[in-house]
Amino acid sequence: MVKLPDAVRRLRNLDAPLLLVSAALLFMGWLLQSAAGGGDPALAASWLRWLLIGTFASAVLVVLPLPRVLTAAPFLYGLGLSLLVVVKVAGPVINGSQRWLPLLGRGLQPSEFMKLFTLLMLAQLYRTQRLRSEIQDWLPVLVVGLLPTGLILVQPDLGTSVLFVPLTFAVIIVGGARWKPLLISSVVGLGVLFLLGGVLLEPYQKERIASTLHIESMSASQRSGAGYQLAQSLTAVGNGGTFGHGLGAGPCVQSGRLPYHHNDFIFAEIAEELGFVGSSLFVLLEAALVLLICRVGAVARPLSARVLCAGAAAILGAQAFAHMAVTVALAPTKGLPLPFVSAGGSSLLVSVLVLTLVQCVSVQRGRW
Amino acid sequence: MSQRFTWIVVVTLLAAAALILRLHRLQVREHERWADLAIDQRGGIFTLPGERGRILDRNGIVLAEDEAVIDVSVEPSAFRELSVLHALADALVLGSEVPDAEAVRWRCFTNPAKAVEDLSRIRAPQLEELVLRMQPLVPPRGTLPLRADEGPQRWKRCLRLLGVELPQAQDRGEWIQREGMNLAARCGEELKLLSDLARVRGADLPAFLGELKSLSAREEAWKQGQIRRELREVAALDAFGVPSPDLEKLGGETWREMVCDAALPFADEDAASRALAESDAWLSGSIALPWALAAALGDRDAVEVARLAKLGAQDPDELLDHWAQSVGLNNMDPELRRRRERDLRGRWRRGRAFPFATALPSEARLLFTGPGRLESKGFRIEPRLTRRSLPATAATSTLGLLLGGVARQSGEPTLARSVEADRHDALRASAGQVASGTPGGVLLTAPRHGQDVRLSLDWDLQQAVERALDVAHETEPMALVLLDPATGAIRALVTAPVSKDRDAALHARLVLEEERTVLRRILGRGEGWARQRLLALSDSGAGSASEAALLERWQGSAPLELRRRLDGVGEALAMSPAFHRAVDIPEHLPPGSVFKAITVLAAIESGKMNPESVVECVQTTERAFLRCKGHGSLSARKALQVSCNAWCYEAGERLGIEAFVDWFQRLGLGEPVPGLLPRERRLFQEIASDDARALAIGGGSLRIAPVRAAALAASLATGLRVTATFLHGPTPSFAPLRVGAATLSLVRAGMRDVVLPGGTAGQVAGLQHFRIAAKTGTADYEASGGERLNQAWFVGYAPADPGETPRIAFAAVRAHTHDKGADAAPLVARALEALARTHPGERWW
Repeated sequence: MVKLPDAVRRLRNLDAPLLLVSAALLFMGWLLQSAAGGGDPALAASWLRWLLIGTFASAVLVVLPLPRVLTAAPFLYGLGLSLLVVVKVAGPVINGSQRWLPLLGRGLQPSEFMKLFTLLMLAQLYRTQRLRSEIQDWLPVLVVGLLPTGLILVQPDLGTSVLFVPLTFAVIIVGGARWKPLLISSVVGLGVLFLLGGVLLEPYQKERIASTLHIESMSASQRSGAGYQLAQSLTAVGNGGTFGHGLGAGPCVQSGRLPYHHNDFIFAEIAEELGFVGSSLFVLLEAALVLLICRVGAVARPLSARVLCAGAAAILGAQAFAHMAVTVALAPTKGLPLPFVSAGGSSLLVSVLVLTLVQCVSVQRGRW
Repeated sequence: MSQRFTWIVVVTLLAAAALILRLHRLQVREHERWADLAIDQRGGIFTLPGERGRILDRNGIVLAEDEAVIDVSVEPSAFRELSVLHALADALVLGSEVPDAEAVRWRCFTNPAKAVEDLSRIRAPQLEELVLRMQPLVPPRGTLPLRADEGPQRWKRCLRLLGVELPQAQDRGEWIQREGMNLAARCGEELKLLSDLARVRGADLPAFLGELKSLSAREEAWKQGQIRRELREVAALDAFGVPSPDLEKLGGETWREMVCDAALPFADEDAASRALAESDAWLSGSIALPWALAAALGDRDAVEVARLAKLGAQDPDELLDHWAQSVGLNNMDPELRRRRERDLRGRWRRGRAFPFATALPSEARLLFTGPGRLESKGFRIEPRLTRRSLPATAATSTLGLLLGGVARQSGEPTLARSVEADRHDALRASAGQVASGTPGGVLLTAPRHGQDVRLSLDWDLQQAVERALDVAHETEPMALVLLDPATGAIRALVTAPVSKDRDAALHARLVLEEERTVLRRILGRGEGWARQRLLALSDSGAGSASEAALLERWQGSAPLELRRRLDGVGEALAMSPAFHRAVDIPEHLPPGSVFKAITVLAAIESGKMNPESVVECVQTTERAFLRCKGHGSLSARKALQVSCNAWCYEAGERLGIEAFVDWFQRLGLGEPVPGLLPRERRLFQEIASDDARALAIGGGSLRIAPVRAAALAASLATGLRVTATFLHGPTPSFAPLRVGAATLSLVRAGMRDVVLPGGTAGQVAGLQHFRIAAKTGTADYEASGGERLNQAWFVGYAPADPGETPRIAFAAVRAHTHDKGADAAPLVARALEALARTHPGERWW
């Protein structure tokens, strides 16, 4: 066990820019969830509670040796898979899906934690196995990375399940896989997914895709059906104009016409209330987060540390950009929370912990 | 940096660029489009009608004003429990006549200071007990939404807002027994309205209440109007579906609190609790009506409500009967009613929406809406403004003929000759726009309200005179005017007969007038014209169906038959209650001998006769209007006293038509009466070809409305060129008549003699009690069937003693009668007594 003073000294190696950017994102999240942002006080209080939990957990995590944390990965991964099975079998149906488990008085979302556990598992694989560039090396990685996808897809939760794809591929790419077999298998995989999508996707999921493709040409009555949320989101975004209506004063969002504007469509609220200037800055902030994570990973020596950072960048980046793309109808509606900003305790906790893992890489560089 | 990470960076930057470009397109390039859509989706732009100006009497009593009402349509296919629909239909027939809510609303709107005074009584120590007494309304099983702890908390919140310290529980006393629940309910309603107004004013409620209390008397009169206008704007905003967070806070978070605040009187508490506890089934669907139903029924036994609701009948016939009553079908033409019922049944079968109730008070919306909503499943609520006059009485039915009305769709006056039409430019409002949907709503354009119009009418006097003359039961045509001679202001205008259904009477009048027009044209242009006109109407489809029907009926008739029918129509019009005879001039209304006062004045002043000119009056059998009674030798004064035709014939012959026309103009005959009558243009054209002798005794083509006759009397009384007015305003400055004092004095003396023994009204019992000067007039004419009938006039002023300032001028007429002029004098006597009763302490005669 590292002596406490030494561990504290190593905190000097925290990546300051990454810390600043993540603090800025968390601050934005707090503003939006709190009364200043027109939020529900109860939700804001819950968000703050989860942030505190995440901060506490991060404080413990950052001083632990990362290799020790990674040794727990198989257990955590197995636990996660079990919870996914349990939630499907016994979880309450809420809004037509089984995603939450009531634990400790809270509703926990196992799929969110599965992202973290999968990331740890993949990093552990690269730490303990000599995985290199050949297809036979990274196929197991693919399996490990995509196994939760199927379990999450049947909840159903298409949005979260899809996130495991960029996570896995980012890990494989940074892990050193050769391009040609990777590309071929990617194309094949996409084709299979496309074919399976017609079979596996629920009708409402297909409708969402169609709505996204045709949203701007849909009539008002059509917009009131399947395309309602997306139409409201576009209206809110466009209504923001250049400088927005001010925090907590977005007419479309605050009037309640946009469902789930506290989580799945919170970027629409940002866009309406902060305008083009504010929302563009937010996009750049998210991009900066990903770039800074990549910077940490690029200078890390152990391969497992690099893939850890790549996976973290993929999880946070893909989720953030997918969320934003949905609100502006660049992607089908998937119900993804915006990391660090959306309401939703599980997502916030996992995002904070993922970021903490990256900081661990920075803090513990050369000490693996 | 590792090349592998470069791919992640590139993908991230590309995604960011794509997002920013997309944002730029939506938020910058297409911003207008999405902003417009945002406004539309937020509830749209509502037109907020401007409130038409009020019509007030001289003391500020509201005679007509706009009122926010709702029309409710039913969508049967959206209902789940038809028994609720059944009961609601029945309840609404009663619910629209809840007197307490009405009284509250009027008081708040006309006298906020009085409302404050009532609210201050809440400081009574028994209030907490009052609050506790609301608890029994919660049924034991708690099946109603009202929770046991909501009552006291809600009222405590109300009190805190009022700045009232909740007192300790003390002796309850009879105050609770007397005031009971109504005060608590009224508190909520007034609190809501006053708080809304405070919000509009940007003040907190206690400060605003203090402001109301400190208003000076003069300011108060102005501010009450202004306050009332603001209250109406807020209420209109509410009625037109613009949500306001403050309203919701005040009314409570739930609709059941809003029902309390609507000041609906409660039924017997125990019965209500029992019935409602037994009626769980009523609470199905999204319409929580039953509790409100029980409240709305007032003193009806709430158990009866339960029985009605459990009928469970889905019988359209029974339901339609209820609705027929509520939408006024019972008063309709039978054929129209049958068609309407067929339409309703058809809509019922197809489950389509149809009208359920019209012109309900806007508070009734609470009976249909669910929690915190503006609409209700099954009902469509459409708010609008309607013109509201005082409740219909004999007095108001006559007033209605003068005020006229406003068409619902166009907002234009319905009667061409009415106060609403005459003052339309001032009364008219323009609509504003509200963007509804966001918290609080956004007032895009404020409505411009119309200006109030204050009449010279004294409403209290008007009612007193009508009661004194028993206008409600009078069947013979008559009219009476009371006018202030100093200002020309009309204080009372009475007519008879009256009809409680003003619209029906007006409709009948229009039908008769149309028939009269057709008959005159057939008579004047011949049968050939009638055939051609009929063909033209059937080809073009223009004109009215009634005109075509009349043409078809009369085109082949002989002229004699047409004339008989024309006489009959004329007589029907003469007896119609759709005329206000003080201003309207139906067929036969010559002034008769009242004009002899003008003849004497004109003849003496112009030097054609002198005061001592003696004319020999001999009884004669010549043409009718040349007849007289053989009064012997008469001077001017005596001629007036006995109303001698011979003296006036002589005077008329000497004066000539042109002189009469000149004098009529000098006296202001034909001048417009602001608010009532336009300039009389045809009069001078018609009399230009008359026999001057006929004019001299008030015959020929001379026609005059009683209101102008009263103004003439005022002119004689004051020596000024008095013109009547129906509008309140600054004291006018009338030009002098340019008549010698001696001449005026002579005419006045003659008029004083009329009511003395020997005068034409000298025999009227009790008239000598009144020191008045007057002139009688009996103008006879031939009615239909050859019968000779009279217009009996009595025109004058009081007090009439020399040196006294005249204070009231009057004109009374009985039409279509066998009475003589003197027989109209008792009308004046009763009217003057009513005047003295309503204005005691003043010397009227």
